Amino acid sequence: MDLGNILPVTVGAILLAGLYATMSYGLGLIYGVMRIVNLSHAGIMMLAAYTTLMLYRSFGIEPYLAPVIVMPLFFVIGMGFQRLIVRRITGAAPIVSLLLLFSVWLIIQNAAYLIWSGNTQSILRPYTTRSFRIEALDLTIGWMRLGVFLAGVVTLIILQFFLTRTYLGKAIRATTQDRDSAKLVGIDVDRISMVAFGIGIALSALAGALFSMILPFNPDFGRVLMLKSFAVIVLGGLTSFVGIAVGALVLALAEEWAVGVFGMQTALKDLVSFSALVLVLILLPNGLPSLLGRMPVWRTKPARPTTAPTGGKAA
Amino acid sequence: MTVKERERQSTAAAATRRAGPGREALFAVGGAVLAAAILAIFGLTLPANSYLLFSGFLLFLFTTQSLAWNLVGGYGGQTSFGHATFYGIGAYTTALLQENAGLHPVLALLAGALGAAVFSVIWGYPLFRLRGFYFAIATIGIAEATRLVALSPLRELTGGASGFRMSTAGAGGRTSQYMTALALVLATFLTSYWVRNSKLGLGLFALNMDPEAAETLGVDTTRLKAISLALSAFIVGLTGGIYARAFLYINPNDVFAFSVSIAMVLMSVIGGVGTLIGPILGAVIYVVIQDQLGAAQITFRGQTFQFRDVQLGLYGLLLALIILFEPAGLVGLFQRVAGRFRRRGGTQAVAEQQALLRNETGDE
Amino acid sequence: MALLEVQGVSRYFGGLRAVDHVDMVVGEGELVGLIGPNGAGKTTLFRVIAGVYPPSAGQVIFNGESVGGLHPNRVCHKGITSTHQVVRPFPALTVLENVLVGVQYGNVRSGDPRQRAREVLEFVGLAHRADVLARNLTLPDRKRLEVARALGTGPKLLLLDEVIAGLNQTEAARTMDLIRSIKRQGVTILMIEHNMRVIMGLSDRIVVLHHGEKIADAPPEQVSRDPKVIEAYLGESPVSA
Repeated sequence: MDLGNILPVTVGAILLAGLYATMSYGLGLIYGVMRIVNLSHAGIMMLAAYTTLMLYRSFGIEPYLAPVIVMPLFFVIGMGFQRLIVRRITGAAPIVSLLLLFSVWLIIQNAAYLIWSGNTQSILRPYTTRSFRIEALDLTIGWMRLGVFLAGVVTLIILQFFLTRTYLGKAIRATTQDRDSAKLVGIDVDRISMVAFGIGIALSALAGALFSMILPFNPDFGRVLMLKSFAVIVLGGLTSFVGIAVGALVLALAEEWAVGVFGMQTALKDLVSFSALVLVLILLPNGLPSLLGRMPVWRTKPARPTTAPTGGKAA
Repeated sequence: MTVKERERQSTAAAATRRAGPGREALFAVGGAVLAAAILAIFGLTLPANSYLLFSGFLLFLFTTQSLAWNLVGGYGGQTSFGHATFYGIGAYTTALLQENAGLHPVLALLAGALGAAVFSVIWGYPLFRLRGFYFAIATIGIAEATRLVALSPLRELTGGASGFRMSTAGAGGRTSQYMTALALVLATFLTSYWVRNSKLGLGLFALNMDPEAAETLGVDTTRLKAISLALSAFIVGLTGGIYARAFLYINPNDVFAFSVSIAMVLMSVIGGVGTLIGPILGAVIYVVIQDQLGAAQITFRGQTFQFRDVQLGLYGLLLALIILFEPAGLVGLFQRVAGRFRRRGGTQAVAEQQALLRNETGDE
Repeated sequence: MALLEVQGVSRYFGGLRAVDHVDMVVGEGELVGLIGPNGAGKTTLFRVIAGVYPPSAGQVIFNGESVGGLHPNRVCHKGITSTHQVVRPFPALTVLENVLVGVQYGNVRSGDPRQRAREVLEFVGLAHRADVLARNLTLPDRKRLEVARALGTGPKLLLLDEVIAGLNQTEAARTMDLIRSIKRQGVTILMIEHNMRVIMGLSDRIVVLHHGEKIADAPPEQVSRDPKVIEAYLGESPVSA
């Protein structure tokens, strides 16, 4: 155990958590509204990374500006994809959507291979490697890492605002809570699903664009990250964005501490998230929020009653 | 689950469950034995260094895996993306026991299969509490975790990223490999057929279509899933051992690869998940595409690609089409086409009869 | 002798008490009707007895053994089977195979299963549909199949959840006859039904649930005169809950 490392490792973990959260929001949103696990998530992130690269190479657009173009683009793609393909399988057994989105992943992965070849790419700009030091804490922080972290936090704030303050956001939340009731109160669940799917894909794309600036990538990019996203949303209780942010933090801390503080081999780092994914699914199917006694909205298996019923009106 | 949804899910399972039991048994068992006999004789006529022997060997291994995956993924509806773990454990156990402990090859094979089955129970039991995607996604986690463990902490044993090489002593010729794999595929098909018509199969179909209703009728769903997974793991473990003995070299990144698991899912689903024949069709298509186009080159935007590098995309496309348009897979497609012909025949007969009636009773 | 004893059973969903401290006894060979307005907790009580939900409090004693909280399949092996309010046959299995599931996995497993499944189908009057896929059945036949499947498990106690609702008069009469003959075979029955005429005509005794609580437990003619029951069904008076 190496406690001397704990501060820099923790700071590193927090910065990483921002990234983990960003890449998981889209997955969580799509799951919440449509009860579909987006297995093409890895492919979307990879595609967005290449798009960022192309925008820079062909049009000289600075990668940090790329999300401004990438997000709307993938929003539209996501909506179109939902309308044309995913909608056809709403209500089918979970496995049908899983396999469909999985096949989409295979297709875009190989399409990317045909277009951009299997070579590993990375985006190098003067600012991508620059860092600053905090002497007092003996800490070096990459500007890019900090930027990506901030992007994650800002995304969370905007999302939270959007979900609680706008009609569309409220409709999305209502649909997440109970699709049938949402229909009953006049929400166009079909349209909400389409928009939510678009936003979800746009968020995955945002994560991909951000990743492209700090990690090398090839068409196979994203598989491990996708599994980590699953671990994050499962930890976060699947449908709450704050839960996802907390899940991201827990996962990032667990990974970084395992290696940096407890001296685990770096090669085994991913084992932390894979085991977390499996263990949390089995032991804490409602994620961390259930530990805090806060029930996720979709929860079906009731906990012990906390309050006496008022009037006892069984619907 | 809505009725429509359940039906959609179970169409495949039902697709080949018609026809009278007696006739069907004769057809399935007799047909399989006959086909195997023909393939065996064909194998014997081939020269020992024939490439066809090798292709046949691969085809049989893939078909076996596809049939085995279908036991749990098709009949029981538990989509596993983690079958590579069984393949890898079978391969490594067999190789290590034969190479380091000097165990008889056949015993080593069986031990490998048993190891895979035991491992399946270890992760199967806790995971079977999960339904739908949760199960599928957890299996990805298990598979990737297993690969990492084989690659790194067990490096001493597995050879890590540089793999494990076996001596040539245990390897038979291509003809014997071909025959072994053929025997295995026949045994697996018969097992699959038996399961489908057994109490176990009925319980699996029931829990696949409606787990809650099955439970109230006394089906211990967890136990049935575990049994079918262990059976499936045992068979896939055997293919791993046979692969190791044939290639004399194994590597965690090959035998525990995600793509190994994917292949089994793809073959079963494309062919017709939950059906008897579907997994065979799927495997044939998979291997034929790989074999025929494997060496092909594709030129796209001035660059040349090996087909094998992009074949997964093609399978992905097939998978998407199957899921959107024919959930019962190629078997379903064939049945639909056959049904159309039959129905046309039927309506024709009816029309003829009506015409006949009109003539008899009618025109003055 | 009491075959089933429900002792102080409650079932909560979050803050909602779907079933609230219900005591109830069903004697061997009895046919007990369970009624109550919509949302009274009838189906929830069924599901607790069948093991689908563990009770939040209280005990379910069957044949002198506590079965509360056991898995549904274990409960089935003790001799309790339920039908489902929304019929859910295995759509891609034949009618015979549907029954065969219960016969092969249920409580009584002796003799040739196919033979027994055929006998059950004969008994409920579905023998002529034995080889039809369950998805192709009409609603009345589906309801019959639901009963046949449950009977196939060889239950001592059969929980029937609205097997008559939605049927036309002829069909309803047929199903009532069927229920009577099941009872004559010595199977104890607890049934939920909304149609008063049906429940009054069949039951030896009627238990009334309202807002999850038991408000009456008496022979049919007494229940129909019970002011509390009438009030519950009219639902007008201010409830002092």
